[in-house]
Amino acid sequence: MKQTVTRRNFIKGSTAVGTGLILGAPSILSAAAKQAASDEIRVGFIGCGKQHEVLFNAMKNIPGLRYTAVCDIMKDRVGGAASRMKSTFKLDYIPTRYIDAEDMLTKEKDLDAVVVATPDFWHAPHTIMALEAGCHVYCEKMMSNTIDGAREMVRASERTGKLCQIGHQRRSNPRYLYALKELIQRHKICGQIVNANGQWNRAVASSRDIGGDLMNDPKKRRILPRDSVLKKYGFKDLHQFFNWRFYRDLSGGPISDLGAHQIDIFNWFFGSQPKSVMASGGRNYFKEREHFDNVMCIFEYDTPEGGARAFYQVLTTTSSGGGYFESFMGTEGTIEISERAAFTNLFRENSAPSWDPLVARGFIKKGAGTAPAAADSSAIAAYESAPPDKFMLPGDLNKPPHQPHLENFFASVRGEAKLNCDARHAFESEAPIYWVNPSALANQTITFTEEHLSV
Amino acid sequence: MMQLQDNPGLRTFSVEAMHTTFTLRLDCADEKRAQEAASACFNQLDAIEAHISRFRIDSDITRINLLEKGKSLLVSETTHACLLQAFEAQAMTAGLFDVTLGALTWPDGHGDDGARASDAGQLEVDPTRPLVGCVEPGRQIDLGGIGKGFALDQLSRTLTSYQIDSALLCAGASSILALGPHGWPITLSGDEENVPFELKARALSASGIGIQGAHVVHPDSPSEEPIYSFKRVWLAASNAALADAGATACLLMSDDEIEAFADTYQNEMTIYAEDIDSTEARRV
Repeated sequence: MKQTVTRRNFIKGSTAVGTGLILGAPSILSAAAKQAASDEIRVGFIGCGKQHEVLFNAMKNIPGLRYTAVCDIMKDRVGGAASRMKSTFKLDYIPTRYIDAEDMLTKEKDLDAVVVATPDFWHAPHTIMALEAGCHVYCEKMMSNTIDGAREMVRASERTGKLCQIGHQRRSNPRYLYALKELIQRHKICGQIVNANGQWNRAVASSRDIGGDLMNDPKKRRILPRDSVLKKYGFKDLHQFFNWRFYRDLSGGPISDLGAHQIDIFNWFFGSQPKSVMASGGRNYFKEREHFDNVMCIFEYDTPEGGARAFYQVLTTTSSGGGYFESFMGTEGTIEISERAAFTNLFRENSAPSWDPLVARGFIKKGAGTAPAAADSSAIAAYESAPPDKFMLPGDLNKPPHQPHLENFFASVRGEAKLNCDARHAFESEAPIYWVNPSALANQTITFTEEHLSV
Repeated sequence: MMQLQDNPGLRTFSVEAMHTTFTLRLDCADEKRAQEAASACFNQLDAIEAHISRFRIDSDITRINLLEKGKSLLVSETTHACLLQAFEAQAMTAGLFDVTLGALTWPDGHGDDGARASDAGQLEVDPTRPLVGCVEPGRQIDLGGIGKGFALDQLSRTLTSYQIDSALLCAGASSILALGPHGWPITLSGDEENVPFELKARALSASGIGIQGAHVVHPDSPSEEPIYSFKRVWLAASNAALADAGATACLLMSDDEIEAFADTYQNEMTIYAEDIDSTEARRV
């Protein structure tokens, strides 16, 4: 019999709960299943800022990791990261905290792997240091702020025989892998891909300087690195420490920060490096910044199927234009793909063979609102107007975007997988990106030679 | 009272997020500081949405909704904090606010991820760490009734860190948070009558059946259309998450229940309601 409540007990501080959501931590809770201690991968972290948080959230549900040491030149961040690890996993120890990466790598003799999420100009020194200390490395992209730094990373990885995964996480994303291997390569649903197009448009309101909350509050000054520490680690001042992405000596700017992920996809999907780049950029809004605030570039490719051109733009002054995605546009169809599932679409050219057989076999899905098919091909179907056919990928990734790439890294450390983006492959893909800013600065097309693109 | 028109110190920033428009009105003479604070807020909002939106296939909420029996998931601290806040609201409203019931209003009873909503099943949230477990599948979390208010509370902390202590933050027209020593002029908009209201250092949330229709599920009869006593409810509270949840719950209350609720929380909350057969709002 259904009960009807006519007057509820609204008791302050009540711990009474309704159905469905209960508190408590009984033994059923078993996230990140415990691995035998001897099988655990001992992980250290260099860099505990925003990107560290992203990676940590993506690692939380990967089993078999022992969070051993953390390092950042900002003490507050190191303490926060170590405390978060201890409380999240209910550790009976606290990861050892360091200010200096070299110090950490010298003292932590039993580290198996290091995750590097520092500013770009520290990627090469930290990665090489860790590889030479005998650790496998997961390093955020861009490999380095200079192409020579990236070259050194490849050489160090190959010299030491240690694994070095670069954080182009789309390379492990099932949606990207499926689009490339099943749809483009196996079923050739795009036909001949003649063009690619990619963009990352970010609103001006989201592109302002950061760190002002800490820098301008005298009470918080004590938690920030002192001037001597900043100088020791290559920062002129606190503004550089927080906004290193705006400075030419410390980073590659927006084309590297945002564009690297997507230009990597061009090179990966085309299976080749471009033969030239023509770029244009400017400081049209953020005039005080060293890097361009908007860049547009065209890469030319010789692919096995023929020539192709890829256009890419990164804008930090507008979110207009549909967010961030990469499109591969062929004679029979287009795959528009993004790390955001909502920006992923398939378009069929009217003249292309029907995709219905692919739908019937489950390789792609037809979306809602699809026009009904004619009963047979000898008649023309008549019905109220309907939108054109809409097609979608059949499945999706329901993990944080970085998780599969980290899983691939740790599985490779265990010898159970092969890296999806080792240093050499990452270099081959990243090398053309290092030439975008020079092309724009010189206002000239750069035709690539082996010297431009090889280690 | 804060002057909204012709106030050169008041700077307004807007962004689309969580299926609505967030507007920040910052009382800050320093334009650069205001811009940087708004930028930090918008980036924070983006991160919050990525964690708690059920429309994102890779969000914590989607992954919780897909948990199998006996499985558990470590989620972000943001999601955990929001779930605990929802749980507090659930206890405060004696179960009328329940983030696992909103899913029953999803079209066809399915989420975008294909997971089926039901009023059976049980989830567990560990209060000491960001761990969520599925005891019995079926429950689907939808933070639509609390997420925007939760986000406003988080943004207020960011603004404070930028030393901006006077501001009005709005998520659409239904979740509003006022910061600082000034009162902000708000209108409680009814069908025909408007009630002027001064919001000072508090949050105000509006819930109603006029625009979104029947979007609230009663926990005692989840499969039935609720019998509404009110067309609209406005609830002012100390934080925006509880104001959101409280207003949603009040919409499901009878006259007796809302009186008892208002009486219990008379020092913490202010409630206005527009009766189902009335055109003007009254203080409860």
